[in-house]
Amino acid sequence: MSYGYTGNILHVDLSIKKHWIEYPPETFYRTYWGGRALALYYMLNQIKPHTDPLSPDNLLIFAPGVITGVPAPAIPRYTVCAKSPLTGAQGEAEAGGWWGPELKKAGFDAIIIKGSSSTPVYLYINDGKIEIKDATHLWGKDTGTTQKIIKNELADDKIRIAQIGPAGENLVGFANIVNELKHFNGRNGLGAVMGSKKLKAIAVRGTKPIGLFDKERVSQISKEITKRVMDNPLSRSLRESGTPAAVRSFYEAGCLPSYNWTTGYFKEGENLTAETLNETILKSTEGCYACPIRCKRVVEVDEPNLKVDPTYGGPEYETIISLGSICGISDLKHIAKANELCNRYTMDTISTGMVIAFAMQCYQEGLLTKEDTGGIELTFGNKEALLILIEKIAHREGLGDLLSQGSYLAAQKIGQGAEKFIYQVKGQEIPMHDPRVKTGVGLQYALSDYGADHMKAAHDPFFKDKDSVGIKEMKGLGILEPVSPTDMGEKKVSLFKLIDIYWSLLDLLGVCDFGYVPRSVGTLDELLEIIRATTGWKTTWFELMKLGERSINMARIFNPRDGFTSKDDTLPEVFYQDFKGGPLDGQGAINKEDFQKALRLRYELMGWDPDIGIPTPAKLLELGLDWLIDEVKR
Amino acid sequence: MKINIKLEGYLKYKYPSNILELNYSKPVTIYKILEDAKISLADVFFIKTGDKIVKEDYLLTESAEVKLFPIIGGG
Repeated sequence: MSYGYTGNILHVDLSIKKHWIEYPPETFYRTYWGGRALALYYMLNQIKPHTDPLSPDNLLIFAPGVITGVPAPAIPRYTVCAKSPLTGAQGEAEAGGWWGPELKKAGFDAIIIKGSSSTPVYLYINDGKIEIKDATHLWGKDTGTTQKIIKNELADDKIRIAQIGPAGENLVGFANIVNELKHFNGRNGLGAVMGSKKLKAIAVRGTKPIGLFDKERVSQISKEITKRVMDNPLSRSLRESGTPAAVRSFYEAGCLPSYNWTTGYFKEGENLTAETLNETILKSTEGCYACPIRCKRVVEVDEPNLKVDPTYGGPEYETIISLGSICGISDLKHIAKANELCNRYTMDTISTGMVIAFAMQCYQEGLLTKEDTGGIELTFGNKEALLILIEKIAHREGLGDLLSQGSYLAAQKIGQGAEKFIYQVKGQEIPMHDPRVKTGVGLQYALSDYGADHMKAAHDPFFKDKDSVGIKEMKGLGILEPVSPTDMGEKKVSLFKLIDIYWSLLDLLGVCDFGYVPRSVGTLDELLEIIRATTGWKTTWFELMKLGERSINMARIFNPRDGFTSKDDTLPEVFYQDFKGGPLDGQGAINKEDFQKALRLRYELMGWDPDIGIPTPAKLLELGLDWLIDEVKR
Repeated sequence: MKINIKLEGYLKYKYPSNILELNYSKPVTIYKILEDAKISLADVFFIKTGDKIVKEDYLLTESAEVKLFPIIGGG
């Protein structure tokens, strides 16, 4: 009898329209658990080096974790993995919502999709039954329309749908995948992989409860955490203000990414704050499966010339900045509209805003002309241009086609030194957190196998003081000493090794970091108890941290097969320069030499060859990955 | 001199009031006013007074407003 997981992995080959079920043994689940560890097992075994990410040979994997869907706070998440069309590297993105738990209730721990259909299809999974259904009538439709049609034709309003919109169909390099219209596997262009397979959606309905080893204990811990949500200032803030709470701090400090990263000072920042959002466009708040925090914003605008549909949720911090100050835009209503359009078409809002800001800077510097833009006055702050360009990117029209493959490729096509104006790691645009005030985040940007990502670790401020939550609550993982957010020395490197492993673990388990330390209310002991009570496995933090480390090492093996080297572990040059303008003017530059030393030390601490940043055979052996030793010898 | 402390973000939920007023007869460091107000530095990411971002050892020599911004994570 399995607890937490179902024991069934669904394989689908869309080229031949066949599916089958694999029944891996318990040792497989105890080794890989779910999420990207499970996905990478298949990717490393089945995706050949140099595979075109948009070819039928790429895999597209949907993988919740062993405990995803347990009825406890903040464990609703699942991972989507594939080779990324945006980076050419290992691609992954996690999402919350309801889809992951529903897949488990429908009887599956993961879906491994290969091949490509010749015509649009969608997958219907209903309590263990699988159908590949025609989706010709859905192709070209936005996400809201598609969801309505599928629910109507299957006559079941409780179906949960993960899907792509037109951007995914049109193979936009940063197209994403959405479930329930507002929960995104946001980054890495995984929606384009889905589009390349002509897979419009995966509709899931499950009614079987997830098996729990000790239901009583899970319920007891869940109640204890829930009781504390409103008493804990961190979780209460997430509930009251959501992620936009971060805007004010960065804006007032002068490190709010603005005007394509040319400054951290955004004069109109007040217009973008959580307080402004709550007062002007907030309609309600929502949460994910079984989570009492309810951090999601739902916004609405109903004006004669501007309507924002609340069906598509509301902008997160990342979105407000990437579609706002990065483009010089301070009108929250237009940002909310831009967010709605990205959500309808399934485009990652970070990359969308960044590629548009890049185009705005190219226009300002004369690298793009009005002829190139199709007559659009593409100046910073032009909020109408933002909306027009989102449409053009989604449908790959005119300048939108050039921008649709991300800023890295667009800069190569524009030439004339345009690469000076892109800010990316491994081809993925930088998120909206400035590493000059949080150097550990910079290390994670550089080291991330799937390109710059702000969710690759907890952020530095949680570990700044002996009384900080990250120090007080995480001693059990060996995190004992505080380190300044701007420090770039050995202790920071050592700290972020542990945090990276812990974060990778949360991701592959399906745990949202908003529910547990250091970000929020649940403790390490409570999380361990939930895992034990769910699975019946007498696991320990030793085993769990090794699991997180295993997943990092598997990803680290995947990329060199496609030519990635330690030279790809970089940061954009702007972060080695001081801030310009605002309260931090003339301060902040990261020392480049210190950063290089930090990277080398991190390789050493991870048990990787310090010259090339690749795991040693001994490290692979330690992690039970001896089957990958031949890969590193190559 | 009068020092107004304004708490931002989640600090508003951690302490009983989001605006505190303290009086001093001579120059005082921010470290001292936080100690007097029983506000933990562990929760504070940025300290702003006027248009400046300052550290806890900054010496206030006249009446001022001090804004405290909390630690911030990703999401």
